[in-house]
Amino acid sequence: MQLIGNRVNIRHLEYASANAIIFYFTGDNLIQKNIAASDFHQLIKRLSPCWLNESVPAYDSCLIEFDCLKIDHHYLIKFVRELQGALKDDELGIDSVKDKADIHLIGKQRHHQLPVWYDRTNKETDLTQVAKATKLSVQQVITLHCTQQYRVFAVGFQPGFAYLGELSPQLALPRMKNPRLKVPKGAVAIAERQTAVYPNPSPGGWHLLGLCPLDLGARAHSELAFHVGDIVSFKEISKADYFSLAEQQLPC
Amino acid sequence: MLILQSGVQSLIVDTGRKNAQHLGFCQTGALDTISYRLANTLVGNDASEYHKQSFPCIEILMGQFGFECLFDSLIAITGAKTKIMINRQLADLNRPYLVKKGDVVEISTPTQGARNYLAINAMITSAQHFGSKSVALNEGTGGTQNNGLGLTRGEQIKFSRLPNKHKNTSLLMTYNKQKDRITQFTSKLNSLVLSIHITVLRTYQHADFSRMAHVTFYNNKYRVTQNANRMGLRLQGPTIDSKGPVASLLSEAIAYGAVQVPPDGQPIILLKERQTIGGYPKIATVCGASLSALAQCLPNVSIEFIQTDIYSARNENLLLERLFDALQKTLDSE
Repeated sequence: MQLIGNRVNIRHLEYASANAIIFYFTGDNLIQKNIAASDFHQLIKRLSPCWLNESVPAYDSCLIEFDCLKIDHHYLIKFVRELQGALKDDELGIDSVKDKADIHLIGKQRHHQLPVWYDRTNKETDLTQVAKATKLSVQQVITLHCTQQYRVFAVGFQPGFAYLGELSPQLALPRMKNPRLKVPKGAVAIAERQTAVYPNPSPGGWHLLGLCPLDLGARAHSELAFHVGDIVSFKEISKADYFSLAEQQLPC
Repeated sequence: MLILQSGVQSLIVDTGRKNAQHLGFCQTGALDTISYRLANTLVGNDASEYHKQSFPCIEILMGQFGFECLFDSLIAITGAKTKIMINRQLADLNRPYLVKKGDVVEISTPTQGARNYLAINAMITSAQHFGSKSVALNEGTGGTQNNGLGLTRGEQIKFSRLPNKHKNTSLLMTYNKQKDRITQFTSKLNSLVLSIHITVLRTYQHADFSRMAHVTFYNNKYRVTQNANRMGLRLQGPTIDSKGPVASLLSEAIAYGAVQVPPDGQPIILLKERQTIGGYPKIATVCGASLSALAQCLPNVSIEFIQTDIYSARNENLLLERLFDALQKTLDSE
């Protein structure tokens, strides 16, 4: 099924429950599939039909849950079919949040810049271990991590947790064999070809590179929340900046 | 309402959140939707309002819950089979009672099932997230203190929209007149939520599982383990062959009631406080009244899966809706 001027192609669909269907998208690579999934999600959200309960995009899929007293599966499939040509590309706008200092629009994508304090002290840290395992210097690890822009592939695990990709292959490491029981709030971590920031303390098996002072858990409730398809980049800050920024975060 | 005894876990719940999962917030809400809705219906918390704004109830796990009324109101307790005392007098499940200021209500440990729902015909005032006042235990939000925790002994719950005397008495009069008819409805609904026959729909990666996997899944009993909570139920039973579906599945949205089969072949059913996305293959999804029945399953209960099709599943949902409509009409009649 081709939608939105052939840009969004549905490769497969399955029932997800008695009142939900999951749609899977085609694409040459994971980014293309993810773009299709997030475009589809945004289109559905924008139309916001009265029967829509949830639209949940992820890597290459989007689940639509509907109110079964209003429509059935057949109706949803027909609705999706008729989306073809419903909207042109440029009408796929995104709510403007331009006036926020650390978030702006690049084309139609939202861009989040997250400050990170990388712990450069000489003691044994995850950062030094990552450097050892990847045969890079600590400086090279930091540079590789924060010179790149990442795409939000999925949001989940906990509120405000964004799966960011794709990390430079030079930094790709398997998850830790023994996951930590507690990863601190704001921990910036990497695993495989992904990176993420833990919004709240939780168990976790990723390698920690630094700390982000922003309260991402609280931001998940606001217009600064991460959405699939957003762009994220990291900016190195000093320890002093970290503490002063962390202090400024208002409890929500 | 003054809490005298808070039991294992007593939570503020309602119909749950909408339009929140794409941001990573869980659905949450009453685990046994049917008993939750029945309790509200029995005290006259209007069904039309039920869809617009849900009336929170108290979800009580394993009884041992008691409270003192601080204003005159109607209450109803539904769900698990248990002993209820109002001022040390035995009272019934699934019927409205008028309680007066100073009355003491106690709920014992259930003899069958796990959760009871207590509805009051007044609105609990507490913080709201995505249109819901439900507690989200893992997120630490919702509830009377908005900290994601249950009620505590000595706590006083605040209410708005207090009931009027006239409404209380007229509903009770109708109930007494129509008692037999209403009891038919309530016992039908109660038997649905106490069933161990769980209806499921083939969903997600069902086609990737081997024939043997399906045979195993549909022809054996699975025991609920100690890992049973509002997030999900881990089951134990004959190992389901999970070699069929691709191992490195990309994480995707998880529907309410989805049955995951991790590499160890022991199924996990995901409930209202599940993670929004996950990467284990799913063989089926629980549907209809069986979703509520899962809320009444305690560890060591054995359940059986029965396959249904999409049309029957839809039909069941619509029939359930009509049952509630009919009950509502009966309670509204003069």
